[in-house]
Amino acid sequence: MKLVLISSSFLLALVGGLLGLLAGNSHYPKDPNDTLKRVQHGTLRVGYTRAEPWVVPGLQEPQGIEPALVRSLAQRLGARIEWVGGTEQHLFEALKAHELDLLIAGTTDESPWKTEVGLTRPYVETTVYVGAAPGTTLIASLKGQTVAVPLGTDIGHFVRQHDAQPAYRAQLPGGAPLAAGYEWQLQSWGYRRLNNLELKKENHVLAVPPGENAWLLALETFLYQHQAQVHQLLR
Amino acid sequence: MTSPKHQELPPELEAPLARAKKLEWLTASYVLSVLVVMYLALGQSQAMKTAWADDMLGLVAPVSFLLTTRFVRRNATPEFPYGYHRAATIGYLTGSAALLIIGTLLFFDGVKALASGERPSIGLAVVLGYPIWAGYLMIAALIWSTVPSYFLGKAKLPLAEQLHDKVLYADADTNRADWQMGTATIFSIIAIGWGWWWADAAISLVLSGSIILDGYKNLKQAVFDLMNQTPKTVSRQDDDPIVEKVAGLLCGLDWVREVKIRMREEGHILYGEAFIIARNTDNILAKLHQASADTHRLDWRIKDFVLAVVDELPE
Repeated sequence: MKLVLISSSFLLALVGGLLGLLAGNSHYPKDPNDTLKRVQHGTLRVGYTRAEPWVVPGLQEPQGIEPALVRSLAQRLGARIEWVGGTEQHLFEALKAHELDLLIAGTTDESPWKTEVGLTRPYVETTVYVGAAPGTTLIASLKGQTVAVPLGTDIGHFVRQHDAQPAYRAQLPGGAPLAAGYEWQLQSWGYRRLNNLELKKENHVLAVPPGENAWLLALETFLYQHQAQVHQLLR
Repeated sequence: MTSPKHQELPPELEAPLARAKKLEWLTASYVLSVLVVMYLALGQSQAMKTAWADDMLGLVAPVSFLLTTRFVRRNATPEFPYGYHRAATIGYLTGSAALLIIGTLLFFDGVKALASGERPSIGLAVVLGYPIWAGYLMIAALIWSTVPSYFLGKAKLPLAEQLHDKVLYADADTNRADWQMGTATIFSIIAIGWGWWWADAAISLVLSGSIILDGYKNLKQAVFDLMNQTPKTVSRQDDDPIVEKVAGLLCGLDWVREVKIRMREEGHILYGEAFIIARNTDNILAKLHQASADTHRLDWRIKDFVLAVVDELPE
């Protein structure tokens, strides 16, 4: 009997609480540090680091896919952007300490910082494929083949997993019969995408200070509504 | 003396056993569904992680019940002359040890989260094309992990008493605890939404504390059972009145002068000996036979009770 009483009061509190939440939806969830309130018609402190094609350093302001997204977001919020360049390590530390409001660095959901800061849900998924130069015969397997890969990435590792040899190039595709690249890169080189030879998937995210849930939700909602813009920017 | 069959259950308990098995199958599949739903909604909330681990432990009792009910009723063999009843206790021991260990790990996780001021981020989820705050999704998952639990626990309690099954009783208890844990976790998600980031870690600490207590209580009882503690009621609070009942029966016999009884539990079944000093030993075999039959008739759980006529009672 006592248990039933306790449980039913729990349930009542729960239902009441939920109704209260739904009624006051616009102010829920809240930011412990009021980031969203501060950046609206205020200053948006954005940390950036070079990560082409996501973030391309420019003369005054960074260019590329993520800066373009940030500029439309700032316009939507009526915010002025304060760009802060730096190394990824320093910028993530600053973000964790709430000294930045947003960090763009071509970050994916595999980032080792994912438990320290808030990451948005992936706003775009990109895939690295093997592409074949025009006029080459199509292949079903990479076994024993040589694939041109960019220097300074982990693509070579995935090529070796297919029992193929990576050939490191500073400039791609450089006339190689097989080359690794994102969908849009293959397209611009005129290479045929080999759909069965998918090397790597990347889920791109943006980073915000930890626990600023109203701000995170506002940013994610913006990204969700601008999926079409993202795909346009990728082309 | 008769050598009773170990697998016998009185016919009137066959129906409750079948029902208990059905409930445990239901519980196992329900817990699996909760695990999937919770995993999909799992975010950075520490309380949510704690609740998930606790839900996973909810599988231990149903699985060990279903496994042990297959084993425990097997006949005794020359290799295992006392039968397989203790399989139930071993299942119980491992389950409660798991509870204790996981509770402790989660407790330190919670302390770390609170001490370092970790702030859980909960963002957007898209449900059937509608963007909503993921916290609502978590709350929905948690409601699925609580409400059915409560009714399952309630349905199992009377069956556990009837069958004198401690694993089933512990499971019913776990279901009851799940209900409270889930509700506390819902509050912690609501609190995160209010910007009270510390409430999440604090609630997870309380929850892990309750897992630790549960684990300790059950581990202690499992060890006591293995050490042949005197029989206890299924809720483990009191001495089982059955010992008194057997003593009453034997003391009431006119040929018995003094009697000393030792009993122990093996799973559902009671084993034991009575040492008897007889007033006279005329026709003693027939008298012992009769007394043994009467004792075994007292309760279905008395399966292997040995009567021994002695000169002197053992210490």
